[in-house]
Amino acid sequence: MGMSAKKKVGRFCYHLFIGGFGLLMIYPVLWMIIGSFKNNNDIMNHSANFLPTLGWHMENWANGWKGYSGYSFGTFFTNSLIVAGIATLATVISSSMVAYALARIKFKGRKIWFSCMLATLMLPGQVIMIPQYMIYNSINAVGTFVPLVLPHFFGQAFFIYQMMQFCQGIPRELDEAAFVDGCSKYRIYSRIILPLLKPSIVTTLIIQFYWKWDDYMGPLIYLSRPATWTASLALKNFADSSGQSDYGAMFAMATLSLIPVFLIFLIFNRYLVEGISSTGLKG
Amino acid sequence: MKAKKVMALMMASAMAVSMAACGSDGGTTTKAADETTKAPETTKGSDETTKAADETTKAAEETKGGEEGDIKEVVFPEKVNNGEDCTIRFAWWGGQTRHERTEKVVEMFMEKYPNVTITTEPSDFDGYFQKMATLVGGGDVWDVFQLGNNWAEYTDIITDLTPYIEDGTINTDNISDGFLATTYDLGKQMEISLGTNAHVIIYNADMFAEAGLDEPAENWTWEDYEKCAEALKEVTGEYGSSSLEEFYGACTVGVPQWEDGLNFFKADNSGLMIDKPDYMVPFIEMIQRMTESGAYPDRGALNEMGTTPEQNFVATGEAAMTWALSNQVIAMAKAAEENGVGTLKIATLPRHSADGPSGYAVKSSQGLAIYNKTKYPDVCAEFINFFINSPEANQVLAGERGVPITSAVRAAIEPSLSELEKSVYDYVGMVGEWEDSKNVFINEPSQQNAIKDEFKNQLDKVNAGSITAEEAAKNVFDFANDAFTR
Amino acid sequence: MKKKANAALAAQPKTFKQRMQSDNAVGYVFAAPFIIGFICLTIFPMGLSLYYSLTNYNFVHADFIGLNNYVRMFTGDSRFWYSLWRTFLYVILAVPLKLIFALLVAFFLTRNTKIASLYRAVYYLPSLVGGSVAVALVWKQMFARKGMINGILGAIGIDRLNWLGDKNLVLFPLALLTVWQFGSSMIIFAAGLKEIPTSYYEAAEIDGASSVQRFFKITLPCLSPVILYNLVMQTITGFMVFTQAAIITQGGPADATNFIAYYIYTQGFKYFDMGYGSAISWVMLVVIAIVTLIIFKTSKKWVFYEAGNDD
Repeated sequence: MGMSAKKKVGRFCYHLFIGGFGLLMIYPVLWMIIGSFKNNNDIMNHSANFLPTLGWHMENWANGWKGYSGYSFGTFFTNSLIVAGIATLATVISSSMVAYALARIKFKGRKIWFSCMLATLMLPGQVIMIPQYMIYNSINAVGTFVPLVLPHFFGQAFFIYQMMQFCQGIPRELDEAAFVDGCSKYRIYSRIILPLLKPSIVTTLIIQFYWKWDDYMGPLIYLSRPATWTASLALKNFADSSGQSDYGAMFAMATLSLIPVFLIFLIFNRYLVEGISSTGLKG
Repeated sequence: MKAKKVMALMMASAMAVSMAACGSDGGTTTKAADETTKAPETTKGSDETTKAADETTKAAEETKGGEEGDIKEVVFPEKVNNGEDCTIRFAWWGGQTRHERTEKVVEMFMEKYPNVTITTEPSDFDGYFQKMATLVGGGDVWDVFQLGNNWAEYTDIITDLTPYIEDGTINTDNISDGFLATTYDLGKQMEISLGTNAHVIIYNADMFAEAGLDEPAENWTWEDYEKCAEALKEVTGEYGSSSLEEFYGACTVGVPQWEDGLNFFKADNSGLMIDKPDYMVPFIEMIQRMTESGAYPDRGALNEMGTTPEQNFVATGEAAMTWALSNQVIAMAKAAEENGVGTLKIATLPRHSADGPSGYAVKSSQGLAIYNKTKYPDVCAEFINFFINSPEANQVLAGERGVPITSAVRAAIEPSLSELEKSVYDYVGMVGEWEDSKNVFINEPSQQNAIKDEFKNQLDKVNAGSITAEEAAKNVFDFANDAFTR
Repeated sequence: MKKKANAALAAQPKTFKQRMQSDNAVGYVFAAPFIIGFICLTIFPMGLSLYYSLTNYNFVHADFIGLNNYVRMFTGDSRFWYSLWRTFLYVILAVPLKLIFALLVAFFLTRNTKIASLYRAVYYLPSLVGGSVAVALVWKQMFARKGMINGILGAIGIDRLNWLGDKNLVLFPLALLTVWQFGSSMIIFAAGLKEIPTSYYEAAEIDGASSVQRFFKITLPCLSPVILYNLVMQTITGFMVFTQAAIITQGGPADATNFIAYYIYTQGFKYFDMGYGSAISWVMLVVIAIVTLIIFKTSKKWVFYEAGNDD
């Protein structure tokens, strides 16, 4: 008997409390998933129950999938995938370049650009929401995906910062040795830094992807034609038009819209945790 | 974490402050405030207003009573734009059904005239006007576009359609002048209406029977309405009344219901026509009483309800009466039937006093207008002509935008109408003939959105008990006057 | 080959290729995306926004009206003041609670066991999905009149509450949605906790400090820079709250959730009063900057930095 009874009880309480609280935390998400199999009457009149009282209703998924305004959710998911995909790739390429410059190259004005980068990190996006709209409007880009993806080609402060932190963990001796061997700084980026930055890049891929996937305000402002809607905007309009009279279908599509995020969570959980913690720390 | 990083963050925030500084010194200057705060000039320009009002009334007077029976055949031209290729852009807003039907009509037109290409831009209501505003700003609006009664904002970009009507491009033989007048304003035929509407009360006849209430009379009053709502709440336990269009009820419809011949807004959109806030008070008080007793849903419940007819509490059986537009009746009744909540019927809108004016008129739900800088105004006019007159096209559209304005189309649709649909058509016809509806303006100034929101806020405050109905009315009145001076 | 070129550098004028190898050239080539973006998509719009804020811009025309927008905001627009006030309330309600939860849970999960990392994952999930439209819609339904929360309250014999229709209650569901997403702050705290040397705790234990004392005497001070970081970032995000107001309450009831970002959106994209919207956004920026500055100023009193040569 290595462990005293008191310690055992303490441990039990710990797990009961932490586990119970954890269950409470994900209860809304579970409730949504189960809700996608309930009919309206069930959701309205037996709302305290977790499992369906009035049977399982698979047809919610088919009803929801029909979508809005003649476009199925297939269209909306494709749009989301295009927007999030392009934005994510662009972010990775541009941010890693900028991070390399700011972390590794001693060029004139580096400090100024570094503080500019930190400033944008803290700048509330709403301040430039209106003029940005005007700018995109003047180049006829409103209604297209351009306003949603273009900014990502210029690096995202959050990820630049995170990659810079990571760069500092890469021994300088590596690039110095390569430089002595006659490797240009351009090649050092592509041959040394980029491969070693891989964990940070994976984090960026994941976080940027789900941020963009979840984004509501951008599509709300820039996309008006249903054919161009992303999943989040479509979901909102779907809920406004028929979702409130068909909660089950709304929950079904809500669940579906979160599946990519769930997948990321399950597969890349470790990278996510590392990525988040590295931005707040180190340095 | 070392101090370096926190320093960097601080530097960044300091930068943000210094960047912001150039903006802030403007905001705190008080001197400018004194110079600009002037009393709103309410009386100025009232002459012009009455003139404009006269014109509208005249247009309406000349037109009443187009004969229904006399249907003339509309002949469409063999070709448009001399058979030369051209492309026009056509935009509208609406829901799924409308999108599908409208697209089909566009295809029919392009099949008939293969040289014309029409690119379509359907969207939802909010996105539509946002897009439109930017297009107006950029001077590049769609060639043909759907518009509601808010044309006042867009008069500068709309082609007057009168010449096209006169030369017969847009055939109006089967349209009574009264219906044409619903989109005639400020001396211009702004658009051709695609359907007409009237405000209506939809009620659940079964709930009325359950509560032992008589069905509403044609000239019932808001007082009657409130009594019914309370009784219905008492007996059924559900809301007596679902959403009333609160702003219309108190303002744009409410004011003309008083017997002193005023409207809420001036006809030329230059300001408020009323000179004191008192007009709004009784309606606000009624909503407050009903909300307090639970006969009327509070803001949270109204937010939950959503805006489509299928979502209305009357359709879901959670309320007995609601304010609606006549083109929503069918959808709501259908949903109510599917939900098994009872039979829905329609009644007139209650009045301020039983022998007073009704306060509302038949209005165009939406119409089609032509951009005044379009390259192909004739093609656009031909398209409108086809859209409103083609029997085949209207079989597809099936009156989804409201009661069609051409008698030929109405006659063509009539046999397929249900009992309820017929009663809606009759109702709209009846409202159209009311004498007092001529005095009701149909304009919607651009300030209306902000004023409507302010009204909603003030009403919420009254319901929360933080201000009185008089104070709320005064706040709305001041806010509105202020909005027009900017 | 490159070496030869390097050797010859001093003697010959530089070719273009050589120039491109200098640190300045390389730096600007790689930093170019950010610099271009910063100028075109941040600085230029900010300047434009400042200019718009001095006009009555409404898509169609932009007449210069001086400081009228600001005057109107400060003297004539009670909605603006109320919006600012409600945003403050929301931030004060949501941000501290969120950080307290994040810190406590992180503290309880410092053990490096498999089960602890599973728990961390579970607690982290909400901050992954919390910002989505899907969850906002779920929240709206949860707090509806006949929603889950009222259903549960009813089952245990408590009267239904009008969560989203009562302006005194409505901030709670919205703040709860924010607090619920404490996961990402928790992970940052957890990483910070790992960096506290165990020797500190061991020494304290020898001195006979209780676990509560250890938390307040060691954990909190050592973690204070991380707390500062989280506090600043969460406060800024808090002031920008938009999606919840837009989807769950549409700013109501009685403007109780008409948060400043939502108000800017309404002015700009619903009333098309872009000039006024821009003016409000500048005031918002100033307010956020001031609040951030205040946090930094007071932080000198409660943030402790390691001397750097402890070991």
